Amino acid sequence: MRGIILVLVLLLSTLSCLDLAQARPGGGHSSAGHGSSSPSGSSSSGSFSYNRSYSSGNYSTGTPVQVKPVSLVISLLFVIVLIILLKRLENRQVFTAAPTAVNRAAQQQKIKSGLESLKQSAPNFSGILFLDFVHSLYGKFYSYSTHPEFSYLSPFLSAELQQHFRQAQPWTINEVVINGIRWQEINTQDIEIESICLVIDANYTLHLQGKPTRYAVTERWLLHRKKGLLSPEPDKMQTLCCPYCGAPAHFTDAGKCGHCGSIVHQGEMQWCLGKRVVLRTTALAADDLVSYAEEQGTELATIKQADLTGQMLGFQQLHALPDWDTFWQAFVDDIVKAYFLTIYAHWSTRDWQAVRHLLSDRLYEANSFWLNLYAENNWFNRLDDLKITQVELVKIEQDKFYEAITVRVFASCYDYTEDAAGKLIGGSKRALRRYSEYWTFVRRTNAQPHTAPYSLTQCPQCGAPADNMGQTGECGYCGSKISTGQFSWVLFLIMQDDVYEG
Amino acid sequence: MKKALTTEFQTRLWDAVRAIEQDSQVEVVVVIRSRSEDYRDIALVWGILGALLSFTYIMFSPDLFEDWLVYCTPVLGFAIGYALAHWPWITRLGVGKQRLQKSVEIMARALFQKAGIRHTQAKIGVLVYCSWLEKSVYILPDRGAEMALPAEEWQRLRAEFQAIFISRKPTEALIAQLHNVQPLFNRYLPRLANDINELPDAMEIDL
Repeated sequence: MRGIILVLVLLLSTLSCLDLAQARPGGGHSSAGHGSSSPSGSSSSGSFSYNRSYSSGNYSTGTPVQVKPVSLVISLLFVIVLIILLKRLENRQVFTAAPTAVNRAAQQQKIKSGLESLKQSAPNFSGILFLDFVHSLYGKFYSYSTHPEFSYLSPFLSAELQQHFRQAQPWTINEVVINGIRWQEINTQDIEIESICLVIDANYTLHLQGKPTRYAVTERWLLHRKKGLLSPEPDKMQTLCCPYCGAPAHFTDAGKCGHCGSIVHQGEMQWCLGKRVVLRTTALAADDLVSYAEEQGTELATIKQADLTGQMLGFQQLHALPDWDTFWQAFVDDIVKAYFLTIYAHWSTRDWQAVRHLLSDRLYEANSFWLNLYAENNWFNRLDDLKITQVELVKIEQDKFYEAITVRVFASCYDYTEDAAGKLIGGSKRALRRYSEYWTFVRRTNAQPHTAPYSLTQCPQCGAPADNMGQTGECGYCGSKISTGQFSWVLFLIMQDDVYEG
Repeated sequence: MKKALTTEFQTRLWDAVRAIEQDSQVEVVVVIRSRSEDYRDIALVWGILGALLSFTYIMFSPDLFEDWLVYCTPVLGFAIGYALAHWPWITRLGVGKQRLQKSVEIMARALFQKAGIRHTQAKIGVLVYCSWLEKSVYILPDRGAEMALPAEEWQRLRAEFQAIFISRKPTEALIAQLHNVQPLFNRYLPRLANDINELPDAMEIDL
């Protein structure tokens, strides 16, 4: 209605500006037969006759408007370009309030303070061990979900979560893989409890009525424990076990250990999952393996630890290093570059077991799953002509049990997926892909420093060939578990540059 | 609108949202869009109007025009009218208030669903949707949040948020208003122990 009124108003305004008494098709003069005709009648019947007449020169009065066709075309083009520009400017995207880099940096700072506070109140606290514990709990939470064994986890779950799968259908979940865990919040301000909130990116396969579906999920977990509790030793943190006797978790609903009979209440001896929320769930397809998104984040500035220099100095003093550069150069050459090239070379050939001793359990499991998916399709993810262009030190962390060094590795390669016959499935053999990743290496604080050059093909403990590593990262010759970082650096975490937050 | 959404504004906006969430159970999601609807029909109306006006001029002007001008000028008039309709105030001029409000409400409800704001356990999600072209803020609380606050408070809150467009700097007013509502949510929905943020920090809403 408003539109119609506007049209009428503007039309009338235009008409009122014109001299309607003289207006008629072929206007500009008062030739007989046209002067008295109504405007509408004239316009409907005479516009073309006027123009034809004008063209033929019958009307000789009035001011001829001289416009070159080219100027009208230019005007039209100009307006079209204007419309396109205006459409672009419109910004139809949805803007949602979300944390910016500044917010994230502030959050990281809070997390760091929280971790420091935890370490002060509980000297045994280790971020690496805590993540290992969460990893174990996450795996068991889903693999036990609808099975009777779920009650084994009773000391590690809140009363509400213990009932979580009671109403669920009898499904089975396996192939639980954690792809990433991010610290979200650490709260040590409460009088009675301390809590840690994490965001977990994971995958699992859910078998419902015999049909498997692979899901990618993002969850937020809130774990808590009694304030000031001393964290268990590493061997009791890296598996779900009774905090008293150390036997594998086998608890009743009431939290009674099936081995030693001790009662373990939630959060009183170990971290307990208080709440969890699922933020995203997506069903995955095989095609997702070969979807090559445009590289993002390579151009982003490196996120470095705020007091990196101080941490370097601390590390140097702790290990009585004569100078930082000597250590750093050896670390870059023998660990970062060597691991990076070796791990990706074996990734390309799907020979993941060959680098078992270089990887933490978590990283090995997560990537084994993906390589198995490639194997199921008989595909290979090739990374040809892999070159490291730069390595930057980003972060150094130390606690009672572990020390970790995070570096940003800039590299380039031809990244593509092909089948066994060499047919290209995804990616490109011609377009060089430049990318960067944040790699975190860890080792136990009491690990013996190497005097001889590193050898990636030998067990760091016994020196035997690393060709007999078990799935759990134990050397087949000496039986030592290598993947804990007890004897040498192991790759603990790989994070993409666009998601790394510090 | 694009100019107003600076990183500095986004940082402060997130801080304001976090402050509410850390002080109460409420999960606030703020969404801003340049417009809630395309209003393509309005652009077409302006285009037709442009064509009609130019044709009227050609028809009744005392000047003489060549054939090709009679043919092409209305086309140019249409394009100019269509282009002009992309200016927000011209679009607003052509659309009734009722339709503007309806468009905002429909978009807000779609965003609420698409963003999964309903996925909080206690139904305490609140969408604050700002639509720039319509100069309108639509507050859409989930059931739990709606029941927790008296209707009168919601009414007042809606009026206060709507008033941000009276301000010369609506973005600043929006942040100020978010800070203003913090005590209100804290009063009716105080934060519980072991509270967890149930919605993703960064939402990707494809609409």
